Amino acid sequence: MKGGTPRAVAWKVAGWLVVAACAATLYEHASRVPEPMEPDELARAARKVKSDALEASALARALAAGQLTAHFARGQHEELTSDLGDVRKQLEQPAPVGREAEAQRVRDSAERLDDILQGVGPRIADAQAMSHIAAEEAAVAASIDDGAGS
Amino acid sequence: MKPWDVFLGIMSAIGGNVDIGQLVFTIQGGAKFGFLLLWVVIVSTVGITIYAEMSGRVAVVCGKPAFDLVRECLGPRMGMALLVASTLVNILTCTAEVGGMGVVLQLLFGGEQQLMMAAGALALLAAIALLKFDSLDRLFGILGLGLVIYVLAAVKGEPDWSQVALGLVPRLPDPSMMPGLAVYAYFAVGLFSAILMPYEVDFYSSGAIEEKWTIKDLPANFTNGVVGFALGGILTVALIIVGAEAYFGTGVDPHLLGTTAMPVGTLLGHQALVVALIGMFFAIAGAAAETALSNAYTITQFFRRPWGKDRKWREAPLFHGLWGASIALGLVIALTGVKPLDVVQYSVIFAVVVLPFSYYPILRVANDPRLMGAHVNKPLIKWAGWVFLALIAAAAIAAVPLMIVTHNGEG
Repeated sequence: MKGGTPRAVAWKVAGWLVVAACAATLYEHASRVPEPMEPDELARAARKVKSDALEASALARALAAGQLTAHFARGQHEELTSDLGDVRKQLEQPAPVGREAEAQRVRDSAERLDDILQGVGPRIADAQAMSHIAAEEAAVAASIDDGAGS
Repeated sequence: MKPWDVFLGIMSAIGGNVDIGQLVFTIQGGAKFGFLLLWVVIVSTVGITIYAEMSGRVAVVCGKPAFDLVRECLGPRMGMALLVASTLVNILTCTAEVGGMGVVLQLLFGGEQQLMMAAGALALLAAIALLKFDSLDRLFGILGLGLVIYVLAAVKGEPDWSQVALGLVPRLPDPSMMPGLAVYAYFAVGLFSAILMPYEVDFYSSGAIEEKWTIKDLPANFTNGVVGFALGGILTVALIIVGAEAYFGTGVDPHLLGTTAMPVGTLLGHQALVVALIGMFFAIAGAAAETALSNAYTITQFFRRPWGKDRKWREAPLFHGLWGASIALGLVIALTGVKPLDVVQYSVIFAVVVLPFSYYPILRVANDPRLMGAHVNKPLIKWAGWVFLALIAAAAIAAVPLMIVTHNGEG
């Protein structure tokens, strides 16, 4: 039979369906117009910023108490900064309709946390400075609680 | 097999029990649900113990490793589909492990993370190339015992042991307190899959043939399987307890590898943190070696080409090329900047989809008295094997929808 056995035809049809589905997905992706982020997405981003702030605060407290090594502290701060960068990129999307103020508060908190994290490096050996930084980072986390944090 | 060898086998099974997937799902699971997911560790540990022992016994009695049976039981076409899926999952897992090695090296010694990934991958290639199979298995397993520090940290944290005991009994979370039932189910499935990863059984059964086990070694296989995995399960329980003690109810989502180690420092001090990181490095490196070798085992066994870690390069060039290529590919993907812990979520969830097809052939052969003779599964093991296969199939069906619905467990 020209075209092959029924099984071969079924495989061909399945293959073409997969190709068509991939093409449709790519087309949909390419033709997107600007849209605000979903409220759930904002809530997730806010939770991430809050989590990063709380974690950074715990890290600073542990450093002040002499419980961590220098390389661990630097490496973990670098990871936190990179993670926060990803969330900040996510927050560059337009805010959900009617929740612009909440989104802006989260963006501001993320920026404040980023500033604090950038300044940690030279002070990791100073226990007093680290305690102060821990308090600042905890305040950032608390400010998200007051906003769209959860 | 001498008692000393059995002891070393058990020790390396404990140290080699944990990989990056387990680190992620245990600490995150503890952070999100306290002790509620402990029962999953018990169920999964019983499952991996039964199937690992079974795969070792089948390999010894029939002289065939797991993927040889896959081809025979599922046929060449279905077997090929499973081979492709397993290979992709192994590459994803290997990527996460190689990336994770770089992160841990950076946390230990500083430096650039990408450079550390390359250094870790090179050290891994050298270790696999230069060491014999049994030395390789034991090196990573025994140095991975540094993770036992998590057991000390769990005890030092003085958890409410009555709540820990309650966690061993399956129950649903209180909807008012938790991130939700779907997220709970996602972490239960993820933890289940992380403990039962298919590469473990492929590696274990191939290892039985690599180490030239005979019928006389079956009791040692049983001891290794039961004691090693059971003690490894205690380590996994300790990880959940530490995650719960450090992060439950705090609002911290421990999604960085360093975050999984930090509680050891805060509970036991910076020296203990170094021990935990060393244990983590060798456990992750051991898992990277196992996934890379599993890729080489499965592909060469499926195509009936020469295989064996201890064979010379010219005797098994495809086999040796494949494990090297797996690590190299994992490194290249990790160097693109993907986050190891994001990759591991995908690898663990996709692995569970492959699991039923990997485990079914082992159970079928182990249940067959014509092939296994006196070593056929006893009725209890046969029954338990089917129950676990049903659980694995249910997890496989639920895994991807749960991943989509919960946005990778973020809720």
